[in-house]
Amino acid sequence: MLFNSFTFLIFLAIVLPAVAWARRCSYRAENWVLVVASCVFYGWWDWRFLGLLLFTSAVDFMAGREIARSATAQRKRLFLLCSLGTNLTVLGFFKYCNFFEANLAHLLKPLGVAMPDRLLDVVLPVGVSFYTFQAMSYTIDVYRGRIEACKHPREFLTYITFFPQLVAGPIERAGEMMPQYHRDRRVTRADIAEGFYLILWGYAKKTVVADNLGLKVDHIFNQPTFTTADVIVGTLGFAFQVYADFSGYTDIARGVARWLGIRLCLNFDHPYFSKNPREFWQRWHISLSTWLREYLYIPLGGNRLGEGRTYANLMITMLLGGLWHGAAWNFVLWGGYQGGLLAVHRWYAQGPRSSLKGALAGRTPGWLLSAASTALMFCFTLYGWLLFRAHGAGQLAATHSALLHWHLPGDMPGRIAKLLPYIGLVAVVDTVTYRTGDPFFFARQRAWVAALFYLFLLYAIIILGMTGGERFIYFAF
Amino acid sequence: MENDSSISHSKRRPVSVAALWLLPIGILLVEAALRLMPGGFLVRTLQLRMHEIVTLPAPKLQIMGDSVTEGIIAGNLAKALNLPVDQVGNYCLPGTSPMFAYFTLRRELAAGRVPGRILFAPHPANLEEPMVDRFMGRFATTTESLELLRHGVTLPVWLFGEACRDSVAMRNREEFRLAVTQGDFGFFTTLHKPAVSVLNSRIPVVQPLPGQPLAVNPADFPAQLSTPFSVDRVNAAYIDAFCDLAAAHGIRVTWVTVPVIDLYKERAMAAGGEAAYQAYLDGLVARHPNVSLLHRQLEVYPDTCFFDPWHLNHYGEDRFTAEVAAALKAAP
Repeated sequence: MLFNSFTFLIFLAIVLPAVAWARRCSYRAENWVLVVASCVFYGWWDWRFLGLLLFTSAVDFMAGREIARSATAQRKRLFLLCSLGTNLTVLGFFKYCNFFEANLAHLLKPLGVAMPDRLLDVVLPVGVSFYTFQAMSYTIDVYRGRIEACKHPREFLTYITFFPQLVAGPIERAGEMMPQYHRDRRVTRADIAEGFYLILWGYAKKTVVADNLGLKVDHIFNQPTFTTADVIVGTLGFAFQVYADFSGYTDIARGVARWLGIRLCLNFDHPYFSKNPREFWQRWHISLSTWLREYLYIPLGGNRLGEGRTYANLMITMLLGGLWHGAAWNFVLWGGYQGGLLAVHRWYAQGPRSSLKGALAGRTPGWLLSAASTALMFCFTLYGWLLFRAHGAGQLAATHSALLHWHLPGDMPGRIAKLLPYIGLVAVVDTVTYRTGDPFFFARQRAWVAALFYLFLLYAIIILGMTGGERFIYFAF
Repeated sequence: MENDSSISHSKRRPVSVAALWLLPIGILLVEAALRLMPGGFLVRTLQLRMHEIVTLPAPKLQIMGDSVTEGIIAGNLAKALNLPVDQVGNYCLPGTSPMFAYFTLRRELAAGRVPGRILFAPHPANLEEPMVDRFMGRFATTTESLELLRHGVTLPVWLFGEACRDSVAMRNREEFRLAVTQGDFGFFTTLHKPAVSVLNSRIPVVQPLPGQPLAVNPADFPAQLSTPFSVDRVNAAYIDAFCDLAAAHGIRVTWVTVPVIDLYKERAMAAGGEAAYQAYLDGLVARHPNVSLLHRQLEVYPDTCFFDPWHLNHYGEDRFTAEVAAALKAAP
C-alpha cells in the first residue's frame, strides 16, 4: 500500500479510529490493533512476504530473549549470530541474489560457461533492507546490554511492523521505540496539528515536487545520448527529486505516527545546507548513517586504530552503505565516492583547513566562506547523485563524456527554469525552516496564515500532484 | 526522540490548531469561487451532446466513441452511403471511455430513441483507462455513479471520483495543471467557446489537402500511447454491458478500429499487443452475436494524416471516412 494512494487514505480512516478506540482499553490492545493494521498494510502489497516478515520477527524476538537469559558470553554470542545470520541471509538472498547471479554469469562467460538467464529471478520484498536493519539493531543492543529484551511478542511485533515506517524507514532503534510501545499513549492537539503539517508537507513534496521532477529526470536519463546541459539539468532535477521523495515519505510517516501517539526520529535535516561531507551524513538519511556508525563503523574500530585504519573503515562503511541502497555497481560506486569524500574531508579538517582558515581570516566575510562551502558541497553532492542515478556503465560513460566535452547551449537557463517551480517550493520552505531553526515555522504562524499555507499546499497537491500512485524511490531499497 | 517537536521549542508560539478548523472554510470559499467559473468547453460539449442525443430523433447509423472517433465525418459518410444526412450522426463524446458510451446509450433508449445501427470506434489506447474520475466528475448522475461499484470499480477509485464530483478543482485538475505547468491556458480561452453540436458532424467536408508531416519527438510521445496494449477490466465490463444493452433493443453494433500513428503501433502494439487487441475483438464478437467487426487489423496512417499523436486532421478524417464507407458498402 502506497502512502500516495487513495487506498491508504481509506486505510488510515479506518485505522485511526480503531487505534483511538483501543487506546481507551490499554496500550496492549492498541499495540495489537497496530500489529494487525501493519500486517494488512504490508500484506496489501504481497501477502506472501508477510510470512517472511513474521518469520524474521519471530527469530529476532526469540534470539533477543535467549540472549538476555543466557548466562555465558559464548551462548549470548551464539544467539546473536543466529539473529544476524537470519537477517543477513534474508537480505542477501532477496536483495542480492539476482545481482550475484548476473555478475557470476558475466565472469563465467569468457570461460565458456553459460548460465541460464535469471536462474532464480528473486522478487525483492518491499522494505526488506529497512526492517532487517531495524531488527538487527534490536538484537545487537540486547547483546550489548543497552536495552532489555522485549518480554512480549506483541510489543516486539509493533516495533518491527509499525506500518508508517515499515517499508522505507526511518530505521528506528529499539531503545527509542520500545519505551513508547510499553506505555499508555496520549495524542494531544499539538500532535494532531504537527502531524497534519508533516503529512500535508510530505504529500506536497512527494506528489508535487518529486513526481513532477521525476517525469523530467526520467525523460533525460532515458535518452541514448547526453549533452552537458542534459547531465546538469537531469542531475539537478534528480537531486531534488530523491530528496523530496524520501524526505516526503519520512514526513508522512512521522506525521501518521504522531497521530498514533508515536514519535519517530528525524531522518532529514536540511541536507543540502551541509558545508562538508561529514555534516551531509549528519543531515541525510540520519537513521541509516547512525545505524552504519553504531553497528558497522565503530565495531570495525572507528577512529581508534590509527589513521590508515580510520580511512579504511570509512571506505568499508560507505561502500557497504552504498550496496545497501541497491544491488548494482553504481550504488557501490556512489558509496565509494561518499567514503572518499569523507576521507578527504577528514584529512583536510586535520591539517590544511586550519592553515587555509588562518590565511583567509579577516580578509573574507564569514558568511561568504559559509556560502562557498555550502555551494561546493552541493556540487559534490550533485556529482554523487549522477553516479547514483546512472544506469549501467554505458550511461555512466555517456554522461561523463558529455561533462568532459563541456558545452552549455543557450537554452540551458530555460531548461533549468522549468525545474524551478518544483525546486523552488522545497528550497523556499527549507530555507525558511533552516534559517529560523523551526521545522514547524509555517504551522506556528497566526491561524489564518497557517490555514492559507495549508490551502496552498492542498491545492498544489490537487492540481500539480501526480495522482497515479507513483512508487517512492526508496521502496526499491 | 524528535528534536523538532513542540516540546523542545516550548518558548515558541504553539502550532496553530485553529488553522485546522479554518482550512475547511478556506476550501469552501475556493470551491465557491471556482463554481462561478463557466463550465469548460469539453464539459459543455458533453452536456450539449447528451441533451441532443435524448431529444433529437435517433439516426439510422449512430457513430459512438471518443474524440478520435470524430474522424468519421457523418455528413460524408451519409453522402457516400446515399443516406439522408440526418440519418447518420456522430454522437462521439470527446475525452471519454467505454462506460460513457454505455450510459449514453442507456439514456438515449430511456428517452425512447432507438438507433438502427451503431458504429463503435474507440481508440485502442482508451480501452486501457476507464476514466472513472472523469465520468463521475463530468457526466454521471448520482444513480449512475453508485452503479459503478457493481461493475468492478474499486472503492478508492470510486471515492476519488466522488471527490471529483464535489470539487471543481479536482474535476478540472488536468486543465489547471496544463495552465500552471506548461502555460497552456487553452482551457480558460475556451470557457466562452460554443460547445460543438452533434449536428456539426452532419455537414459534409469538401476534400481537403494532405497536412504537413507531424513532427513527433519520440521522447515526448504521450505515455498513454506508449504503454503495452491491454483492456482494463472495468472498460471490458462496460463494453460487454454496452453490447448487451444494444442486443436487448435489436441494435447491431459494428466495431471500427481507428487508424493510428506508426509510433503507437511500434510501442503499444509491439510484443503481442496487436495480437491481444485482435484476440479481445474476436472474444467480443464470439460473446455478442449482434457485434461485428469492420476493421480487425490496426491500420497505420502516415503522419500527414494526423494533427497530433491521437487525432486525424481533416485530410486523415476524409480518408478514414471514405474507407469506412467503402467497408460498410462491402459488408453484408
